[in-house]
Amino acid sequence: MPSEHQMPDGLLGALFALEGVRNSVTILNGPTGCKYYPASLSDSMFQREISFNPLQHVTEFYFGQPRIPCTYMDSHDYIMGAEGKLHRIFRAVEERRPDFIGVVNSPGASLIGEGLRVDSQDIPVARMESPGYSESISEGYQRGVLAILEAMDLQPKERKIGQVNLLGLSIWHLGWEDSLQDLRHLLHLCGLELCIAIGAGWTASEIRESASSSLNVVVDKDFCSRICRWYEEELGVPHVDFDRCPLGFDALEDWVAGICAQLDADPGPAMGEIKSRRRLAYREISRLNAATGLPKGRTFSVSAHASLALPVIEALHSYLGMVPVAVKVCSGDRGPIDSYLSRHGLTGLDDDLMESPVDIALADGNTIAALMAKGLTDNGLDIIYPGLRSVQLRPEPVLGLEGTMRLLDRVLNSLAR
Amino acid sequence: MDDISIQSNGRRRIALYGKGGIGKSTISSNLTAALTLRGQRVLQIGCDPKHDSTRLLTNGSPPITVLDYLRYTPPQERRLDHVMGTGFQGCHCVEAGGPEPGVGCAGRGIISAFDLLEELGIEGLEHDITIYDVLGDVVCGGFAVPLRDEYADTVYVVTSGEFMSLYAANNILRGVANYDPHRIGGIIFNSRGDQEEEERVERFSQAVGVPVVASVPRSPLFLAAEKEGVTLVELKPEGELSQVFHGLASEVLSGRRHTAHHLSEQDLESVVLGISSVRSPVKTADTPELAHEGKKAVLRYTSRNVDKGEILHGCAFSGAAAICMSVQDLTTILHGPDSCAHLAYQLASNGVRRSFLREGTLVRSFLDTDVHSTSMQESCMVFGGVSALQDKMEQCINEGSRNIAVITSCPAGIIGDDVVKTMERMSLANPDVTFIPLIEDGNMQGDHMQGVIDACIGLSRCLIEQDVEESPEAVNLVGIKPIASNCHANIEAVSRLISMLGLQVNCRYIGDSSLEQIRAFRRAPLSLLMSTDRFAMVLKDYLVKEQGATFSPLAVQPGMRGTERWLRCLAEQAGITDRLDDTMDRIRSEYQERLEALKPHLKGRSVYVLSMHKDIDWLVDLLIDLEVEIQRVRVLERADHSMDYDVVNEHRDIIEFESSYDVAEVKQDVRKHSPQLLLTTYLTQLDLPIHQFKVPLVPDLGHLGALNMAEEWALSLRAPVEEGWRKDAF
Repeated sequence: MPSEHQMPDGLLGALFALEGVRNSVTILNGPTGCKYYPASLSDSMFQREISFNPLQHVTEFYFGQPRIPCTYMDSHDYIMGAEGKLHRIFRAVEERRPDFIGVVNSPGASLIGEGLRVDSQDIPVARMESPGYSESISEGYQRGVLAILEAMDLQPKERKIGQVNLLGLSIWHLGWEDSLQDLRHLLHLCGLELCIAIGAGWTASEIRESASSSLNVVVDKDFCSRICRWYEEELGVPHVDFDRCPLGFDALEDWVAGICAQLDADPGPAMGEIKSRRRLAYREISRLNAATGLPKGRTFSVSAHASLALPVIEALHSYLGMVPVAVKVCSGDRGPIDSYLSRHGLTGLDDDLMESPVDIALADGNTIAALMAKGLTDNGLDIIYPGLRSVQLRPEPVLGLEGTMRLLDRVLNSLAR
Repeated sequence: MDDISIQSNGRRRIALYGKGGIGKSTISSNLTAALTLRGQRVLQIGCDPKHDSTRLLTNGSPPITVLDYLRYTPPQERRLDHVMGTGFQGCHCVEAGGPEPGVGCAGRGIISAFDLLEELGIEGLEHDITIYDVLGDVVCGGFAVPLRDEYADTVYVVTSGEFMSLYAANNILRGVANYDPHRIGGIIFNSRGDQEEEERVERFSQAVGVPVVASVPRSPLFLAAEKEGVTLVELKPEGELSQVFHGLASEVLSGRRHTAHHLSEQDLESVVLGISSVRSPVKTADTPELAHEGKKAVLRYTSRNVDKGEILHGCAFSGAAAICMSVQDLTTILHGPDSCAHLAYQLASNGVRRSFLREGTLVRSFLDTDVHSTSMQESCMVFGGVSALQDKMEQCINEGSRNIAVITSCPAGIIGDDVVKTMERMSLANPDVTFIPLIEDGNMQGDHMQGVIDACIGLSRCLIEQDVEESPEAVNLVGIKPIASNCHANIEAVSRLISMLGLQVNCRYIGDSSLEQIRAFRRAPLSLLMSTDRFAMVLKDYLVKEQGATFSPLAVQPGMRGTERWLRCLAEQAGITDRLDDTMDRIRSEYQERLEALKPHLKGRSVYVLSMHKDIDWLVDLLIDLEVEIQRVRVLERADHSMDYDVVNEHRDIIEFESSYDVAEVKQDVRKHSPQLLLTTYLTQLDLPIHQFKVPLVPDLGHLGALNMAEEWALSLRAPVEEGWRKDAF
């Protein structure tokens, strides 16, 4: 049952939170077995190096990869501890003069009580002694972001009108940079000039600057409720909450309207742009529908975390008239999804994608490949990591207005083949 | 008090537990001395990081600790007599050792030490009594190792009359109750000289239902003996105090055991403070069980990283998972936190996804992998994870699994989950299910390759059936690499060549195989190695030694010349040389035809080779056949899983071997030679118009495999030497 293991857990969430800081280094105090995959993932999701030649990263601790050096703990270290190696790696990393250093224990290192007693005089250091055992990626990610915020020692600042923070995006989110650009564009149309993306590609100075934003805007609730609370309690920054990610015309309009209502901003231009895309979509769908009857009644399955699965289901079911057959909620609160499904008489859905043939599956690339190989679908749209594409030259936002158009375009073209 | 007679097979194993500093080592050593004077063959194992348990038996010179030995001695050089000293009257002494105070994990140290002693065959020695002298309280799974069935059959609790000492004694009884409550030998009272302590100990003894089997008074003679570096029994053999230990020795030899009860903290305080409000002890149940069998040393088959003590690349957990997940009809349970399951699953499935989407090939079992995680959480780390494992196994059995492999992660190993025992219990309750424990403990057994090896061997030991009728035309392919992207293409190429000789593949060992294929391994009278890397050679070693397999003397080799060699060898071994000529003619003809078609494009071209793979005779053969101009062939010898064997190259006159790699120097040299083709393991940015091509780490097999690559070179030579995009590096 592959979908059981599609979602990373808290360890990867924590690592991706720390790796989300630009010009930073994240040290893993643990074995190479815990390093290779996250380091490869971080490098591909947030590209910072041109060369793929492992010989250019042959120095101790890096093992041919540019990201996440580690202390390569072995059985001896589990008995004696790896403090000496940790100090050596920390000094080596410090010499590279990053803006920020994160240090995370692997599950095993955490279990033997490794203390992470390393510090720098002039570089902020976030330490995570427990990576969390089998907690969700979103929990680990939020603990990681909170560790960053604590390490940066943020203090309350005067609010800047028109400056907002976007919360809940991580470098693990498929197409995060493109989604961010799309959402920033919409907010720009609303007159909100500066948007700091908390946890996804932010710089050390942006982390400090985030304390002076006038509003925290939730992009992906599953990944930020604790962070919102921290900003409110520690720095007095309020937040505007949304159950679902801004994906699909309805969810997107709610998102824009909700933010503008909080800040007394003008949603008109952004709404106008969304409306023009609605018109474009209408034209295409009505022509397709007139010729073929599509997409009404076609089936789909979804596997994603709750706050992303919900708007996908809404967009395909309510907007396109398609029928969900299987819904796998990998993490987060599935209450709003169940509520939506039962409101529409969609009960008894399978929660295992591997049992249900569908016209299109919306999931991660590995699940889609398995479904296709098994003959359960001919079409798939990747909405969470790992994606289906190895190379990406065109912007491919998963969220936002262009994310909505990508969703509709790919679904409709799959069905119309 | 319950009194349960021991049903011993003549060999006894006892453990002495007690609060730190209470005098366990002194008592253990004197007990050992008393037992040896009675002609008993005694082994004393000190399980304390300060490694001074056997000091008084060895005149102050205990042997090197097992953990130090483990650290500094390569696996193949390890011997039991290196860590086992001989002491007073020929007794044997071992010190487990451990970390400095405040760092690392002493409990994990005990687990590792015991594993090594077992591996070295300590159970095969003829000891009448083994004494485990265990540090402190039963604070974690590591310190509980001696309590397990296969170790101590009887546990003695050493205590003084001080409250904290009795508190620890009560905890020990609680710990024993978690394993087998009927294994308590008694309380050994080591007096501190406090007037009321004897009464406190007596009240405790009554309350928990365990008798005081020896009372050791406080005496300056102990200090005197210690100064001499000997036991009191040795110093004053006839003295009154020595008689206490002789009495204790008699008690130990009697084999009397009692059922462990323990008190609540409130009751314990009442008892120790002398208030007579003792409530009923917490009851324990179940029948006693004792079954020791002498064990022989287990043969270990190791990866290069493990063998040479190198830095471990990846973990054995994920290596074992990659193999198990590639076997059809096998349920794999990954015992660890979800991160371990996720990393192992993604590592394997990402490669498979790529090969499916690009080439349409697929390792079938990855299609719907039957893999589960026990999702160990914080509570498992504190209280142990075996119940989570048991629940998961029951769930799988209820869903129809009949073949279950369990692979352990680092956390499961650190907390000392007794996975083997749990699976044995499950096996008794489910006789129709095959349980296969793969105790990797993350990377504690070694690197990724070690896990691959362990899984192949572990599955085989449990699955290969002994009584299978041989089929003379059947051949096993050994050393399949299921997550290599050309896995399928290579199996197909080799299968085609074998079929030309009239043979069929019986078992793909092990990768993309079914359980049935593995079970029927012995159906094939002959096996063929898919490469000569360490992985394949280790599997061969195991299959020959333990499964009686016969191998064709030559492994499958890439390239035309290599293919001719291994095919001829296979035909001779199988006694079918009469079929050889036709096959050879056919493959030579196929090769020659494509070679001649390539020569007009490649002949005379200058070629520079930079390889991280040592086994490249096939590439040099090809270059010679193509009549190119070979400028240099440089090979970087890497110490990792992909370069883990010692190749004897035939083209030593051409190939230059280097142990380090200076990127700047290499670039400069390539610029100096300015070849038309650069063949390299990793393509690199050069400021020169040179065609670069990849040298694969796992080459395509078969007589046409290398030619496929050369055809790509020939085709690419029609493309511009410097593509437009290279000019945009700004």
